[in-house]
Amino acid sequence: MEKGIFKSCVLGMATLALFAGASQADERIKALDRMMYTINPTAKIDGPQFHDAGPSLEKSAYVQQIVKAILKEADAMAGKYLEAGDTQAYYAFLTASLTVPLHEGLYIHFRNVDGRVCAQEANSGEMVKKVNETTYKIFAQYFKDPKMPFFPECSEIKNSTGVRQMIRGGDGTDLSIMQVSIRWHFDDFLANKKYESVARTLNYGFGHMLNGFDPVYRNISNYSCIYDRSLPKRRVNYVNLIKGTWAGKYNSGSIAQTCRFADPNSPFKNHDTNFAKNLDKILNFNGVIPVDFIGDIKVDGVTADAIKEIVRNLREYKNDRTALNKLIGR
Amino acid sequence: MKLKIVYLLSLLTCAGLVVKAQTGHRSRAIAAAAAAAPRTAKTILERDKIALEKNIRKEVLNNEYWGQINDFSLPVKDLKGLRKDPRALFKVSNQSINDLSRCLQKNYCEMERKDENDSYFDETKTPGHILLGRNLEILLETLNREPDLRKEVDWDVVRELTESSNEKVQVFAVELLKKHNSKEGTSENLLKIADNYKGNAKAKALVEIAGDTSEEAHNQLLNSISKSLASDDPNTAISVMEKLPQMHLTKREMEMVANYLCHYKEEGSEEHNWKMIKYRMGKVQIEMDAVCP
Repeated sequence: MEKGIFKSCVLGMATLALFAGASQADERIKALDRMMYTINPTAKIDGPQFHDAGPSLEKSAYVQQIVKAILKEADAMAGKYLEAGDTQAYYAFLTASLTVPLHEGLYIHFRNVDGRVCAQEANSGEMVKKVNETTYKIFAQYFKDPKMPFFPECSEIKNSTGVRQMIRGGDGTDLSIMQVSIRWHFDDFLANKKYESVARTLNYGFGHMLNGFDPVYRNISNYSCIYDRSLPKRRVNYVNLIKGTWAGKYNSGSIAQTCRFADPNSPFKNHDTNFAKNLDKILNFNGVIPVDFIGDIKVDGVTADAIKEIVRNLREYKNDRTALNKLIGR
Repeated sequence: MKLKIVYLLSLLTCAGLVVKAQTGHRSRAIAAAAAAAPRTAKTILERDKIALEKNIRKEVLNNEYWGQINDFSLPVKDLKGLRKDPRALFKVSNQSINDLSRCLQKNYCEMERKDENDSYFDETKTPGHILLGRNLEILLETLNREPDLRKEVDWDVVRELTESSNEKVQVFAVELLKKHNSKEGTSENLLKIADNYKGNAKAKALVEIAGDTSEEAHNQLLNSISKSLASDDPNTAISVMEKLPQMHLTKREMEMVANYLCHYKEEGSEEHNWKMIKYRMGKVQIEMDAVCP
């Protein structure tokens, strides 16, 4: 993914800028302007909206809302493992669920921002048109309904304050906090307008993730990158299971690519390296999540405790979940 | 000051890297732009139609129901054509199934192509597969309403589609055979087909096949389930086990087939699968530790 290099560079520069003392707390993050579709002001949307120009406290509150939404959906999806007594699989799935939307969508689904930020090339569909004709047809069909286009032409958006946007990939073909491809997921994600809701988007994305997780985990002894039969016990490497689930079904569309992350000659090595960096942000969480393009976001209270519990449980084969239960109301 | 210099150097390095990284991408885009006419919405859709016309007959593409068939926001059961004129809807879906099944094997019906720069490619679920699955569902619904149309179905194509790589297509093809082809839709024949399926496709196909009231057919189903639980890969066996409650088995029969899962208790590497088996079977009041002492 070309955007991987770009992403790393911008992250590096953003970090340096922060160290240099550049205060951007009251300015919008202009890099995000290039990653957004602008939503019809009359469209109904459901879920928290990220204000990048807001104070850091507000950003923290936002991330805490998103983390709660993530964990509620992930728990519902993988609760079967917990109830079966397979806590390792459950906490691996939860850790993956904290990582994938961070890596894919910077924990942003909706953005609320002031400014003339609408990108005509994106909203008109010109951007996806350059990629693939089928994708453009799908885009036009589901987002350019003449009666109520979800992404209208920029000329139709008069307001410049409180503009609502949705995160997209660089070429416009991936959409949402889970970066779901409109080219591959139109029959449900687009057709049923799941993107209008943060919770439904997470649910869809995690469902896709589980379609990679379940078959690999059940047939684990076929995956030498995850399963070490030479060990007397604890043969499953759950961190590698997370990496494999993302590299396989989620990023490649095929579980046959599950061990891609362990292949030093993979043409998509940088995809997997960048994913591993974001996974490390969760595994090493200590009260702050460094989000690419955005910077460090402080997470505290019960949300921080829940993340720490999940990671500790995964690492130490435990099941202490007081904060997690409190957060998600289980 | 030092930081500013580092920042500037990083900026320059990164700019270089971005230009380098995008070169391949850009050259492809430039080549495409040079070859193509101006890409307006109209020309794109026209080109798309031309590509489809090579693969799907014009009378299908120009049919008044083609738009509805392609609008996935409309559930099949709510299609206007289904109420208004199911025979006409049947005709267009039946024709498109024949065309799609052919062109998918050739070139994904030119609706998708693998690009070496794209990491994502699900060869079992391209837009053509999705459209084929939708048409099979429509065929099923129209046949349920107008059963005499069965004779117009090309059953050789449906039989071929049971071997598709797409789970939905596999299961709809089995369902079509079962409900609308008395010769080929026997339990014995369908179970032979399902025996080659994997994962969820096998589990869903067995659910479709189950429910035949004849004793012989039911016994054949029990044999297939037992065989799957005993010797299929763990993912397939667990997928089948999860669907057992939908397969019209008595409690006694459940206990009998559950015996074939005992090897998961014995195999050390399958501890995690054994936990799931115990949990799922416990939900239908089968105590696995009692079944496999």
